[in-house]
Amino acid sequence: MKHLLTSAAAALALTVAPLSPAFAQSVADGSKERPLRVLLIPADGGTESGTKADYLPVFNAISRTTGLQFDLKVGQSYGAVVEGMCNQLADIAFFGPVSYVQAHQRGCAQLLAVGVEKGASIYYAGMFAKADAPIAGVQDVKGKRVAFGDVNSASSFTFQISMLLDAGIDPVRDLAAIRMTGSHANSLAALVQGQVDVASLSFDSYEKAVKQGAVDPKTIKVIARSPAIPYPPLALNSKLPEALKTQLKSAFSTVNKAPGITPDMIRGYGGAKIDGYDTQFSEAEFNVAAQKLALLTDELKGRILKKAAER
Amino acid sequence: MGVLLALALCFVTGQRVEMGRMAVLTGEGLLAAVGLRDTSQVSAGLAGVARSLFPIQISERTEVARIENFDRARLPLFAHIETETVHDPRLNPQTLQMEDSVEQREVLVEPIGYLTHVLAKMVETLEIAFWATLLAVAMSLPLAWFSARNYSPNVVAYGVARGMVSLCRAVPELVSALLLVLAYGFGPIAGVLALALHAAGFLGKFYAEDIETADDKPQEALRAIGAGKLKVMRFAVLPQVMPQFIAYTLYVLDRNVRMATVVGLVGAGGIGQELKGRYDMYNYSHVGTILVAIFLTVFVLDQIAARLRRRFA
Repeated sequence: MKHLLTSAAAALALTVAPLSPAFAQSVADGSKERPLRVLLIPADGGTESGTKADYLPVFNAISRTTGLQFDLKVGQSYGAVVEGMCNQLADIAFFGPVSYVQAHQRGCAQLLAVGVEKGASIYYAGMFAKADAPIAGVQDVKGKRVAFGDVNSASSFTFQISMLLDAGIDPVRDLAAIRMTGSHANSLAALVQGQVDVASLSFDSYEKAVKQGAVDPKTIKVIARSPAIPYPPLALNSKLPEALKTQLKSAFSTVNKAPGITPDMIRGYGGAKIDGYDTQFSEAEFNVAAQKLALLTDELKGRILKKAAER
Repeated sequence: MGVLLALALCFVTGQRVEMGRMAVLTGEGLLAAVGLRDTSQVSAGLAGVARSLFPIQISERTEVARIENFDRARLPLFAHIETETVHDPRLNPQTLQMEDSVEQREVLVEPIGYLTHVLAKMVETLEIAFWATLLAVAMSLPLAWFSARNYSPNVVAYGVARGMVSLCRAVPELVSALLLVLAYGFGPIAGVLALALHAAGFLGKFYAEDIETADDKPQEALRAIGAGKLKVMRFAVLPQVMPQFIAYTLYVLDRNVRMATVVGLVGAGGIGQELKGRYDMYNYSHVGTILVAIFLTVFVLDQIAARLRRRFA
């Protein structure tokens, strides 16, 4: 009963207490009592258990080689992971490239490792249309209804908007309608159901849809491809001690050779099989994402959201 | 006159939320369903959704190569190993054409693995709803006391309490959960608190209104023999309002269960995260399993609540 009263009092206090970083836990050091808190985001969408299953073998291997302990949590939105990193709720996080740049520019995050697949660490965003639609390239998107995913997503929003801007199309003035669907899957679903003419999603998400039989690839065509986007990285909280950062980086660079690890257990972005992790990846590689992000001012995003609310 | 005004209001607002279009589309859908029309956007959409949700997913299939410390000699209960052929479609970034590669792989099949996983998540969802209701009742009792005009000590306390009750009710659970995950981290804490705050606003208001409208005669009788406010509340008000209190609380529990399935969308625990993740991974048969599980839970809970109400109210 006393316990209940205490929690009731705490809950009552919350109704008046503003959200403050004072709730944040003290600094983690990787010991059993204070494990390093890892915040994962299911890139392109994924479940809590599935995302954990993707990364747990990798972090377990790191634990075996370094003795550091990790506590894996799965977040839901890119925005929340950026805030989590900046509010000291996480020590290591898996970001989308655009949300990484956002956190990096706020001084909260720096690179830990980037997955390498067949020697490269890149993926692509695309714009898709129905195979029989009279849309051949970006310039034909003018006057069409377009679906985007999450406003903080690199490959279902940022890169498509920048492709439109590069083609001289103002996403607010020149599109018939904007639908912010919240995810890659929703964008594609809107296209398949004929609610929009063009859908924005990553190549990986589209491949997943084909694999699951959610869409017949014969009925869909790619009308535009983004420049190569750097893989969503694993990032370190900038406030971690330098020695710990170095230790983690060296452990990740050799994790594919760690004992008890099979090549199938090394997973990266979207649960895809990767060869290993590159810890020498330069921050400059993310400039391509940073430049695209710079095009997307808050003012433009605001106008896009406003248009998305129109009917 | 009043009726005319109400009709005009319905007409204007109905047009603004496209009720006319809804009626047309639904009508087309119904005509298509009974064969009087070839196709309709709605019937095609709904049929597509239904086709993809069924049959629902019961088993769990895990790639053997990805399981740590896999021991062939000791498989989990009822599980077996299968070899399957998987297609791995890739969109070639140079040609923009689909390319298919086929590979063989071994999978561990647990016949009711996914169902068990969904049930475990459903239990977590129920736990969130239960604790949210408990906290909501605890928070709303003092709120109700101060929000009842005849028990609140003064106007200021009354105003503050009413303000808090309204504030709690005004912020939707999903929005407060969105903010609470930033403070408490991803997981059930944020979900419990978000649901509890909203429900406290609801219960505070309804408890208070019942206390205000309770029959005054027994209260006067107790006051006449010198009973304090607490005693009057305990012996003259509570016995009167208890049936309604139980009914409200059960309703809040019911609502919390339904909402607890949703707060996972923003990462606040429960089955919602699994639901959204499976949807984004195009695993529609998994989504079907989850929806069936949610429906059965709400249905069973409704039956239990009906029994409780018959017994106590």
